[in-house]
Amino acid sequence: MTSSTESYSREEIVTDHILSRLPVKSLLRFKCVCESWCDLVKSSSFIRKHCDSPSNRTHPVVCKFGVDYNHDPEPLRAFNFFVLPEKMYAGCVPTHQRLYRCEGVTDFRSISGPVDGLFVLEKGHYLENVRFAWWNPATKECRLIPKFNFELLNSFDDHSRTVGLGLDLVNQDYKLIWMRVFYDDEKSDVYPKVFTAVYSLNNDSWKLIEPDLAHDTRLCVSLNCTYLNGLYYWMSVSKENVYGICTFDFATELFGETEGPPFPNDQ
Amino acid sequence: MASSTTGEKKILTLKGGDNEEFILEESLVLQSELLKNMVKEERVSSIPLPSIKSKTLVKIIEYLKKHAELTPSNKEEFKNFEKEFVNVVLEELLDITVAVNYLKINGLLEFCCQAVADRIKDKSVEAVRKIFRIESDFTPEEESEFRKETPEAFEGDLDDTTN
Repeated sequence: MTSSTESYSREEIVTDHILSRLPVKSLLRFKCVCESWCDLVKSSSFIRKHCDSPSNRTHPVVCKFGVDYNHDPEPLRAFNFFVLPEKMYAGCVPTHQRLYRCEGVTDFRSISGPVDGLFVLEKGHYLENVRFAWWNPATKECRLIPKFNFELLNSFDDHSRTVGLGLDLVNQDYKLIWMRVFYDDEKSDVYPKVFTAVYSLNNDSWKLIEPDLAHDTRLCVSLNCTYLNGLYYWMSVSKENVYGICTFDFATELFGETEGPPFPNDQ
Repeated sequence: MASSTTGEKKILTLKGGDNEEFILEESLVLQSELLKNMVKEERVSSIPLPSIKSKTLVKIIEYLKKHAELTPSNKEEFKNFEKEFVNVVLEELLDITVAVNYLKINGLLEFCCQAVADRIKDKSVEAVRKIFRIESDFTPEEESEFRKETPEAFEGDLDDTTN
């Protein structure tokens, strides 16, 4: 307990409880209060607690991806967020927030996420010219993910790609699964292999995996992040046009398949 | 001290830091996990709480009474009481929060922590140091590094008061 002259900071449980309820902006400022606060705010246990705190529930936002042709010297491909008011009412106006800033990286193809407030941005999309970056709009941090290239044949052309972002619940590790299928110009057909790699944030590196997936099974693009409790979910369509659910477990790094929900009759 | 009873109700004495005594029904203190265990295991009738100021204890007992009277029909009234309850100077609110944490009154702890967080979120670094009585262990150079890293966190109208 604290006597009338002692520091309240001795009450770590209280500090921890109070700080985990603060907005990110306040935490970035209070990191410089003292070393112990700085260490606490940076610790992974605190980050998890802050993430789970009911008072930090995320604001509803609309994301708009567009090209600004008026930008000099070249058009800027940027993400604009529109923060929606907590209480929606007829005629309410979202606040415009241009949250994205990553110097030197302007050419974006798509965005995945969020998982725990984290997004993955994808830059470029032609054969070997692909880069990913982590983006945390709350702290405005953007970190490039190391480049990774599959071993491609000269006759390859892009056919399809799938990206999924999620958390490995066993190792508390954020991971990215990336699958690519190529068209072989020489054979005039799709090359029969799903090139697959997993990136781990803890190791900051990529790893090739050999999934038991049919290359002619189509995984539908999940428009938002269809990640839940350690698994990523895609709707899949086999060559025979059978619908199913394809899953990827971020902890075991194994794919799974389940039957899709029954479709209602046309009548 | 002998255990005393009036009718069916058990009576308990809490002793604040300045030896002031508070007599209340035992059922009220059961909202505190700490006191509940003391009462259940040791069958005590008087509990000394030397680290809690009497002023703080008065506030907490006031809350325990109101909370015990909470029914679905007076929810609104209780919410207003809660709002008023944390409407005290920040130092007093921190004293209450620390004591509630010690006594393990979980619902009230969450409410107090949220109230403190709401009160300090727009404060300046210097104000926060004064409020929590913290000496900075960073050099001015290290501090300006933080400001350079995330300038937006230091922008805007920051509150320098400690209240």
